[in-house]
Amino acid sequence: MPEPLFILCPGRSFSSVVCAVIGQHPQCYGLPELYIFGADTLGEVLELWKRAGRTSLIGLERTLAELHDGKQTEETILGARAWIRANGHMTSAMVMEHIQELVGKDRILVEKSSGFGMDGSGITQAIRSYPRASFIQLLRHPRSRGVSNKKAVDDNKMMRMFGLLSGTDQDYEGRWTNKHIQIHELSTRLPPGQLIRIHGENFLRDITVYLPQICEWLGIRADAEAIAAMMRPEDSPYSCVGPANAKGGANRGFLENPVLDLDRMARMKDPTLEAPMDWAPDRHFSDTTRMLAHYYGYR
Amino acid sequence: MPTDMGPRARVTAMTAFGRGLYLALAPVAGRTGMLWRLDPATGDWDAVLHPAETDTGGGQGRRRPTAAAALAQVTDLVSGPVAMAVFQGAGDAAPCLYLAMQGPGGASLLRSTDGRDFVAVLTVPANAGYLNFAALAVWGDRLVMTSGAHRPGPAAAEGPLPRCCVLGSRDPVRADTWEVLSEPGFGDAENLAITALAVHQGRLCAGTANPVAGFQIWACAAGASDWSCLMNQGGSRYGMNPEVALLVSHQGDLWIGTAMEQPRIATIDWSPAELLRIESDGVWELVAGEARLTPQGLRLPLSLLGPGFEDPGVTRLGAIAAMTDGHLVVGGGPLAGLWLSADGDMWEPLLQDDGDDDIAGGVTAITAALGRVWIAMDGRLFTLGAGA
Repeated sequence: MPEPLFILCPGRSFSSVVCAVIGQHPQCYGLPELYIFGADTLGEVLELWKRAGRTSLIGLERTLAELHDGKQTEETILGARAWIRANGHMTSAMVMEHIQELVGKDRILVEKSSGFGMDGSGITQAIRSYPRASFIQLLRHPRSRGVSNKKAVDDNKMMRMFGLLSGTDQDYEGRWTNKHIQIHELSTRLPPGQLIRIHGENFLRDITVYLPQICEWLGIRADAEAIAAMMRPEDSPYSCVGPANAKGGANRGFLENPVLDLDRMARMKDPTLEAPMDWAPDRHFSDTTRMLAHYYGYR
Repeated sequence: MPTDMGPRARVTAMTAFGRGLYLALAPVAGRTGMLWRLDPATGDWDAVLHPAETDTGGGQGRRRPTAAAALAQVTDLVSGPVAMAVFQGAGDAAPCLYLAMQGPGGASLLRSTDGRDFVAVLTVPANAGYLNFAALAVWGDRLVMTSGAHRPGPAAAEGPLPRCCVLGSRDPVRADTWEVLSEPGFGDAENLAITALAVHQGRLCAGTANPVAGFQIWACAAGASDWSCLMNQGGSRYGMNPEVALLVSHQGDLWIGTAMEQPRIATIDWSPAELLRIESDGVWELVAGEARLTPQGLRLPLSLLGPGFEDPGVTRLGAIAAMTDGHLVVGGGPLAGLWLSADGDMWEPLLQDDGDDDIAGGVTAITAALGRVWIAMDGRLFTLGAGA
């Protein structure tokens, strides 16, 4: 059975498009955000989710609907929810095994739950379950990631309400810095080559340069047909808005427009670290964030 | 090494001159640097350069019969030798020993015809705004060295020589013959220093320190004045490969060892050093380091070993030498490590320090000279086999 590929990053780091692109390789299967790591069993994950004010694991529901019934409709989503409730005892590894059986034993599952538990427990659990899995640390400039995150919060009433009720400012800078420290700490525990770092902006700007390298790294085909398939993330059954009772599972903007815009990607520019933070004009990035950003090639 | 060299002695450079092996020691914890000479035939050590005379930003060297009294002196101006080269300039009757000195007291280039008495041929006082001459090399009929401050500091007033440049002279004893051979920082203000020089396939190659974007490697052909960039962005490891610690040409390849001396973030060892090489076709390969995607293609460590040769305590790979049988030996620190390779790809550890004693910096210098490979490690000197 092939080992899965986990994409690790804070949210709003191009993970939806990267997961879908790699997932479209004929020897891979890209998944929506499953969010099944972070607790011992599926039932416990659901409890955590409920406490956070969310009602269901949309990405997992869409996956199960697609794989069990061949389509994602409101009815098949309800069927998937029933399956999840009935299998609350399953561990995340058991759920992944179930998915793998349905997908086929010759395809690498590509998963991108960017949450993974803010304390890193999800990452730890993933390694424990899959000690030989491949990991991608996906990077995005802390400024543009923070701007994107703020926009998502501003556009989402639930998230805004949560922030107001808890009285906490959204720490957009901390989410980038702390998550990448966690991921980097993971990388120091892995054998050479098991985790690679992808500079999201570079990847999207020169996608045809980097896709063959990812294939080589994963030990899968890198011929023209395979690369061409990867260049069509919109062909994934998950690269669209889902049915009314399970619309999400990935970045909403990506779901609404999953086709790669190569011209726009080529024109992407990195912002600067120097100016005050867009979401906190009275503050600059901290020395820690700046140092970490330099380590990763951001200026 | 003589026992009174001190437990914190850190050898910065070694070279053979005449029939002796010369060791340059860095200043440590307020003690100034100095120069020792070993006579391999007798095993006798001689403290050649007294630290007091090195503290004036150059000054004159004196031969001292013993080193004990010298080491007891501590001055405010702490400088020391960092690089050595043997070169016969246009005006020299025979090869001379040149010593580059650096420190807050100023920078200087010293010259000796006999390995005992030294005279300053180039001196830059402390108020010139930069701190060092960092590297020395012999390039055809020129002695070349680098100027530049290694640490960001107050804005530097222009001194007699520009910062972060390669300098060269065919007759180095005459200060007026020194020429500036490169643009400051090779045109990149984020290059804070040129930390290493090597002659490779006839070209002079230079490695930089650039903590923002990662090290660069530049090369200039003999007889030319233009420099071309062979490698940048720290080999796509950016600020985690900020500095070139070693640059050596060996059997058609240009070997690069990196160093990082940055504060830690959280508790993570951020950047053990890497060993890379630029091969004869101009393509660079990763020998020991972090697998990554690059504009030049996927790079996986040929040795199958990660950064620091899998040792997070090795944040500097700064010493390398070739043995007569073609083996390469590489050393690192501050946790001492020594590795040997027959083919340049697969490496075996000769020594790995399990402790946390990084007082004297691990392996800081290796040289093949006088028929042996000399290894300076943690204040001690070892020999290994036969040097090339």
